[in-house]
Amino acid sequence: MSFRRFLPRFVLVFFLTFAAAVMFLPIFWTFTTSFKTQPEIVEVPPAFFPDSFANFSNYTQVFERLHFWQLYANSIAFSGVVLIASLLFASLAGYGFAKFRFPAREVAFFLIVGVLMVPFHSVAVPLYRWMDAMHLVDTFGGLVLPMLVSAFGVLLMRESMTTIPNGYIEAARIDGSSELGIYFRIILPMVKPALASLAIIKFMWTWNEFFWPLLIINTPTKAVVTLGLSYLSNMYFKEYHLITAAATLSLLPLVVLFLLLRRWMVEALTGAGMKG
Amino acid sequence: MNNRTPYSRKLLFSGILFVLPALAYFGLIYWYPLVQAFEMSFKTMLPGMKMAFAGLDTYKEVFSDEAFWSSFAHTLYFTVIAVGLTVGLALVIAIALNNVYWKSTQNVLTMVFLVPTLVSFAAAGLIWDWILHPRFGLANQILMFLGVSDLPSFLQSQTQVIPSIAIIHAWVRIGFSVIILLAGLQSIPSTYFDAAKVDGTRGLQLYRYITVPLLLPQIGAVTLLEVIFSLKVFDEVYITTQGGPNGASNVLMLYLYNNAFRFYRMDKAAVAAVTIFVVLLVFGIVQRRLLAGRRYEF
Repeated sequence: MSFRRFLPRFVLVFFLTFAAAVMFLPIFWTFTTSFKTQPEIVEVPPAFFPDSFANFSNYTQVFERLHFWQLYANSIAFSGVVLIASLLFASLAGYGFAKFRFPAREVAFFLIVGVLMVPFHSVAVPLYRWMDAMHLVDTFGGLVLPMLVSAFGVLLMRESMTTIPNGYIEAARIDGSSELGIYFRIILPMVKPALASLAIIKFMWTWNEFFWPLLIINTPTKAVVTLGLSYLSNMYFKEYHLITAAATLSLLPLVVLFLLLRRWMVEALTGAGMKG
Repeated sequence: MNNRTPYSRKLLFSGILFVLPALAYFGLIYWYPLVQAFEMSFKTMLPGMKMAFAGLDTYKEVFSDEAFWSSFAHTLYFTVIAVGLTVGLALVIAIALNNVYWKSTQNVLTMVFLVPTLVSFAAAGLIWDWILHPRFGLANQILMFLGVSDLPSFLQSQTQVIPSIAIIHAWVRIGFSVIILLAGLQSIPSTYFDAAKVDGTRGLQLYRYITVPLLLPQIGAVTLLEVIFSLKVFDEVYITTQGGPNGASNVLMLYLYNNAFRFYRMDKAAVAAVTIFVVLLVFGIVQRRLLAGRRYEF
């Protein structure tokens, strides 16, 4: 490659790398701050790296004060239950809409997709009163109940199931398969990529969910990670060495997931964007 | 699936049974509470008092509440900046990424831009609260290093707080728009560019006349998606300023939250909820319309 062709290509990559570094800087800075001691934090100008990356005292304090293991466990349970329920209900409904005809199908479909236009915040207040009446405030049940089915998921599932040739289904019917058997043994295995996309998106969204946990959970030991973070910001005096450690801990699971599943993740997010 | 096949009646019920769980769920969790929100907005629900029909009284109260209109204005101001930043920067980054010659470099850079999208708004609020700290935050340390004497106080300034939160919001959202726009760019066939080049179109003109027009469906889609997302801003505000300083970052969702859970005025919260629903519905309808039309066929 001649230098004259190489140079603009290199300059472009150089600027993009710089932009990417700027985007990544806040996360990097949070990470390094989380290893600093209080006196190091108020140093002017600040040191780029902490005195020691072996200073885990901020982390041990966060684990003790916020019961971070408990928060992790709660968030994993929250995201896990929501993920499994939405995979099941969304794929069932998606199959119904993709491959069956029944009266008022379009109306039913609108009632599901229309949910995407209703901001959750608008129904949150009546929903909260409901949960209150059923004694579900401050319980795990109350936390997961409004998150269990994904309208976006139904849309995604219907789309990928429409492409399955009817021949497969009819052949299985002639062989005497039950409808539920067809769904489990033929349909689900054929839409594995869409299921994976939905699983990734749903896990991420639920892990990052803040508004509903804030409303429904009052006891700190029942909180999810995002809510636990808010306990640190509510204080009059902000302890940034603890805040950054907690923020790092909250990111960790998703970053690990991202590194393991990056290609899937990009595909899932692209799909999510196309559907809105 | 013909209606005359012997299976038809059984199939009809199977279809209904497949969609029923999701349908019943959304009826119970979304549509019924939405109707209730409307109902609540027409009733007085002062704490300790019995519910009574109030007609438009609560609407009048909310619509003459200065805090409501200022939160509305803050939300719109926030949305304009946040969406402008997100879509504008994402477009530049996506076009630049699309021009990267080395495929693996392009992939790695795209991944890095995507990382902030993983961050919850709650965590992003905390991260940026630290970065934007007037005295010890990284942002002002850099500005000081660059020789800026009149340092901003970001989240603690009444005039800078909304743009600051918009920056936090955009930081989280940019990566998402980048991959949507990049996917759009990569689906434009190179023949369009070849033809334009033969016709003598050069440099930036190529973007003006080929890239951007062909990318309009995606640009429109991400813009509306981001508008709808930004109008619902809450988490970052709650984490960083709780509406302060002096109400300067009070947004619609915070108005709703405060009325419902701080002042126990569920009726006023319901009016806010209905208003937000109507506003978002309008944008949602516009979105569907735009997505339905204006498609370029390749």
